[in-house]
Amino acid sequence: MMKRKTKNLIEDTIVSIIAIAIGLVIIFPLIYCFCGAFKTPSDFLTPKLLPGSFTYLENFKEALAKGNLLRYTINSLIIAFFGTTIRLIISILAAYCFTYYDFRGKNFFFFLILGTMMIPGDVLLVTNYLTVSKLHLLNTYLGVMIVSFISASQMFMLRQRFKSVPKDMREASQIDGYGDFWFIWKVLLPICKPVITTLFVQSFINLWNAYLWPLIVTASSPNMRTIMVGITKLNSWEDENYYLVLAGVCISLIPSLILFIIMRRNMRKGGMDGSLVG
Amino acid sequence: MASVTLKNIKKIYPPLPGKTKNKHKTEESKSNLQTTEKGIVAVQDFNIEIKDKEFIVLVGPSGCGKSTTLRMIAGLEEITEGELYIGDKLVNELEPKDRDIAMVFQNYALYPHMSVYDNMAFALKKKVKSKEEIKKKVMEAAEILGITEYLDRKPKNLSGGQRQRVAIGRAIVRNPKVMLMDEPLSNLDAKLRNQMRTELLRLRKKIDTTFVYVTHDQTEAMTLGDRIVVMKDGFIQQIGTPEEVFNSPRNVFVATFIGTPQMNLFDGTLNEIEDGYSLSIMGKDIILPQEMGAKLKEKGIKTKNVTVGIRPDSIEISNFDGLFEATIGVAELMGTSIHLHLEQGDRDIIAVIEAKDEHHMLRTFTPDSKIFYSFAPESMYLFDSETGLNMEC
Repeated sequence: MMKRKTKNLIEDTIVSIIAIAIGLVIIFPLIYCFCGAFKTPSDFLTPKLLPGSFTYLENFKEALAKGNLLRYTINSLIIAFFGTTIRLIISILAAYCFTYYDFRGKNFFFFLILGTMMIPGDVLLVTNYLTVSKLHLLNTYLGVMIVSFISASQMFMLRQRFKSVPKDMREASQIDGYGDFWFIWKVLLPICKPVITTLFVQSFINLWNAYLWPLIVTASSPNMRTIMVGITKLNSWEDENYYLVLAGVCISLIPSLILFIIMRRNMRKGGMDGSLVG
Repeated sequence: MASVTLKNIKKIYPPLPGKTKNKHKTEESKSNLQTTEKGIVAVQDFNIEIKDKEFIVLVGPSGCGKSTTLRMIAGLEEITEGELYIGDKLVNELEPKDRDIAMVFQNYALYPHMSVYDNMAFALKKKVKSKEEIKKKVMEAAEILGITEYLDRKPKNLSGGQRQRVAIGRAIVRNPKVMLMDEPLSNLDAKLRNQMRTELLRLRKKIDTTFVYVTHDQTEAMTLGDRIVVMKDGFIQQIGTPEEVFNSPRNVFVATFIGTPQMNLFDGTLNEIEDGYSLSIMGKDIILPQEMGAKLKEKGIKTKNVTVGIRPDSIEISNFDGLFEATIGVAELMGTSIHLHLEQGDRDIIAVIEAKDEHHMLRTFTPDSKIFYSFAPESMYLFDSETGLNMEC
């Protein structure tokens, strides 16, 4: 019989190899994109993966200049940040009500909100577009953000997390002289920080990466485009500059990456918490 | 420091169809609470005047409404009917924060993200502005409870007993008019519970305020309370000092609930005879003492079915003769005493005997062997079989 130690070692090695292989498959497009961004136009036509050198920055310069990417980055930042913040605030308040208040039809409304998760987003595209256009919000930041203000899934995740906080905690803070607002701010949110950070990062990246909705809402105003829309505009049917697109993608990854690095410590715990309720 | 007066307090939980309420309420629905069309009546006819600086213990089995009553005093639960005064002020409609009370929760409810110091200072920050004053008060409370060295720690790094102290510290730091405690010791292990109980007694001398303490543990009730309120199914059964409740229980429930092991109950019939009363239990007649008889005579009782209660320590056992014969079930050695379970028919009778040398500890009590027991007529409690009320009160 094999020794347990050896058996474990073999198992570990096999699992590690599989994990690394899957990881490579996932990360390959990123590596390809990163390398492609440094290639000269002539380099790009060769089948080599690595560029001639990593000091060729013309693609980045051109993408920023020609594609107006700086402006688009700012647009995206505003939309992703405010969209996420407002979405979180609304989700927190809704989740709080569903956790701590008793009111008529509570379950009905809760499942009504959860029910919206089953409607595919694309189905709503046309009606949302009409609504936003009638509100005269086309080509505005608010127009792009407004549809993301409500998130049933976030509300649900937060409610599940809030439910795991003992009710006594709220009562203790009531006796200590703090009302609902201060209880949320001083007790509930700090306790639920990991989940909230995770939701923030997740939602920020989602909004940052959104493509279809910003595209149609900002169709008639090139200045209001988000970076994802802007990147695709680098490439037109008459002029296929894939290396510019790849440079643009690299630029667009920077803010998400920075956010992820900052929030990583909280996320790690948050990932666990989230996994329990998600 | 204030008196608390509860007048005809009533609590009805409205029914919520298809909905499981929190643990607290489902617990109550299991017991025999009265249900009206308005909902489940958790507490009714609750009248008590709690004096300034008195230590009141609400005691009763799960779901008797004791926690609900406490929560109504705290303002966490709405009062359906009746009036609640703290001092001279009617507080029915006041928010918990405006009642000047403090509460210690069963599960402590410490804020996990704050240090012990911040936990204790949390309430003060809302009321007191100057940081020095907050610090002074927190340090004072920490000193009383002996938690000065843990002030920087987070609750998760504390043991159960230390957490308990912080929870109490958080309450006393505010110097409240009324201190409410909801089964504060029930999460501790037996040894720590005894230790904390003693400490609560000491603490009480240091902090001069009115206490309302909820427990299901009758030892805590007996040792801590100036007065005990025994509750069952939403009704007060008896209010009295520990001695009163133990020595003259108002009804069968109080008699069996207070005192461990539980009081033994027998069915009997009371008959008036020439110069007093005789009681027949299990075919034996016992002449009641003069004093007891006089009380019954005053009430004009002739013949009556009664429930007779005898405390386990009033039962005397003998190997040779006695009033009744039984067989030995099991004997539990409790250290200084032995709890002896006697079987008589399908009846289980408990006797507490001192574990003295003459009994050779447990060796004398061979299971299934014959034994005799008897009790002094003075040690009997007589309850009306129909109403359950003590016939001597």
